[in-house]
Amino acid sequence: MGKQTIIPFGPQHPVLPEPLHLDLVLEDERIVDAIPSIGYVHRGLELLVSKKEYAEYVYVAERICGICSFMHGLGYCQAVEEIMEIQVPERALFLRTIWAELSRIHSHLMWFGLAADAFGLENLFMLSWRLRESVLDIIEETSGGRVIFGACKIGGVRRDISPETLRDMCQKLEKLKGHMDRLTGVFLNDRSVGYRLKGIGVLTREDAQRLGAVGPLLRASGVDMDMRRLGYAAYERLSFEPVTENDGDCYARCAVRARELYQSIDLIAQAVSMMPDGEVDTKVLGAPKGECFMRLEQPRGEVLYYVRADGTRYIERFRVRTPTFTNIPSMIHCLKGCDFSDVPNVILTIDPCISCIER
Amino acid sequence: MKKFAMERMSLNNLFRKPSTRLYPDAPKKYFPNTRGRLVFNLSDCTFCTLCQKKCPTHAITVRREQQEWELERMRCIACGNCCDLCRKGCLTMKNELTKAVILPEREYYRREKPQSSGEDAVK
Repeated sequence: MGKQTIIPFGPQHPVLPEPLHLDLVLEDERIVDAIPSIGYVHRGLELLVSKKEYAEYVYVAERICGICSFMHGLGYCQAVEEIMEIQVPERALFLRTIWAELSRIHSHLMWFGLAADAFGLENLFMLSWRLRESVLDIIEETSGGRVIFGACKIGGVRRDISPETLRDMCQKLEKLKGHMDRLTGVFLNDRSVGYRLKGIGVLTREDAQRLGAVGPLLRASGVDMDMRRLGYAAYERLSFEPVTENDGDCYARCAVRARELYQSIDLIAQAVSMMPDGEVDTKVLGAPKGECFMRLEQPRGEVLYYVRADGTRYIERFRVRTPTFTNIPSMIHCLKGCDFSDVPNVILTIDPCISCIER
Repeated sequence: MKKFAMERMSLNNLFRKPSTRLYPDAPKKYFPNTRGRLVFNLSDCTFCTLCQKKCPTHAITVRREQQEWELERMRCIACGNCCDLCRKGCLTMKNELTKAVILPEREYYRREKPQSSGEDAVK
C-alpha cells in the first residue's frame, strides 16, 4: 500500500454547478475512497409545509430544484390528490405528461452541456445549452415560466395549451431532433469523447441493484426500471419502453440520456395526438386527511414523496427522497479505482442535483 | 468511430451567425403567457386581503383601515396565485420583467379619500 493523500474536492469547484464536498483518498493518482459531505444549501423546505396552506405549498415544492421543478410540483399534487381522492380531468393529465417530458428534455440537454464542460469541450457545452434554450422557449410559451413552470395545482393544471400551440410545439420539437442528432452524434461517435468516457466509472448490474441506484444510472447498467411504467399522469395510455444500456460506464449513461431525448419527443407527440378535450381542473374542497407515498420518474431517476395530513389546512409532514441522494452510494462506488482526472466525469454522469438532496 | 466529428462542428460554428443577442440593445421577446411582473390596479380594489392571505412569500400587505396596498417586489416570486384568486381582477401578470434595482424597494398604493381613480398611487 502506497502513501495515501486526501484531496478535498468542492464545494466550490469548476465542474460542480452546486456545492458538494468530497474528500478523495488517493494512492498516487488513483482514488481508493471518497467521503461525501453535504449540507451547504439546506433551506428547510420540508418543514415549511406546516407553515403554508396545502394548496399554496405547490409553489414552494416547485422551488425545491430548478431543473425538476415541474416534477416536484407534480409529485406533491399527486400525493395530495391521492389522499383527497380527487379525480383529475383527463386533459390535465395529458398536459402534465407533456410538461413532465419537456422538463426531461431540458434537463438532459443541460446535462449534456455540463458533461461536455467536465471533459473539456466548451464548444459542445455551448451547443447543448443553445438547444436547451429552444426547449425553454417552448416551456415559457406554454406555462409562463422558463424554469419554474407554475403550471401544476391540486386538482389539475393552472392553464390550458391551445391546439395551435400544441401543433407548433410538435413541429418545433421535430425540428429540434435534427439538431440533437448532431449533438448526440458527437457524444456517441467522437473519438476524443470516447477516450474520456468509455470504461470509466463502471457500475455493474449487481452493484447498481445492491447500492440502490435509480434513473439513467441504473438503466445504463442494464436494469429495466422506469417509474413512468407505474402509469401516473397519462403514461399508462402512452407506449414506450425504458431505454437501457449494458456497459454501466460513463459512456453508457451518456447513451441512455441521448436516447431518452428522442423518447421524450416521441412521448410528447403521442400525448398531443391523443389529447382529449374538456376541463383542465376540478374544484377542490375540504382538507386532506391521511398519508400517501408517491413515486415518479424525474429526469434524474426515481423520486419518492411522502405526505401525511391530519385534516387541517396545513400538511403535517412532507418528505422527499430525491434521485441524487439515492445515487450517492453508487457514485462513491464508481469513484473507487478511478484516476483523479476522471473524477469530474464520474460525478457528472450521475447528474448530481445538490439542492434536491438537501431541500 | 467517426473521426473529427467535433472539429467539423467547431468549424461550422466559425461561419455561423451568433446564437446570442446583444442584450439590452436587442431585448428578449416575451410570450403572451410569460409571468413577468405583478401589476396592481387600485381603482377596483376592495382591500379584501385575500391576496395577502394567499401569497406564498408574504410579499403583499394590505391595510384595510388605511386603504393601503403594499408590495415588496423583491419577495414576489411571480407565481400568479393572487391573480387567479382576486375576485375583482385588480391583479394581473404583465409579460415583461421589472427593471434592475439596487435597493429592495416597497411599492405603496394608497386610496385618498374621497374615492378617486388609480392615479393617486404613491410609490
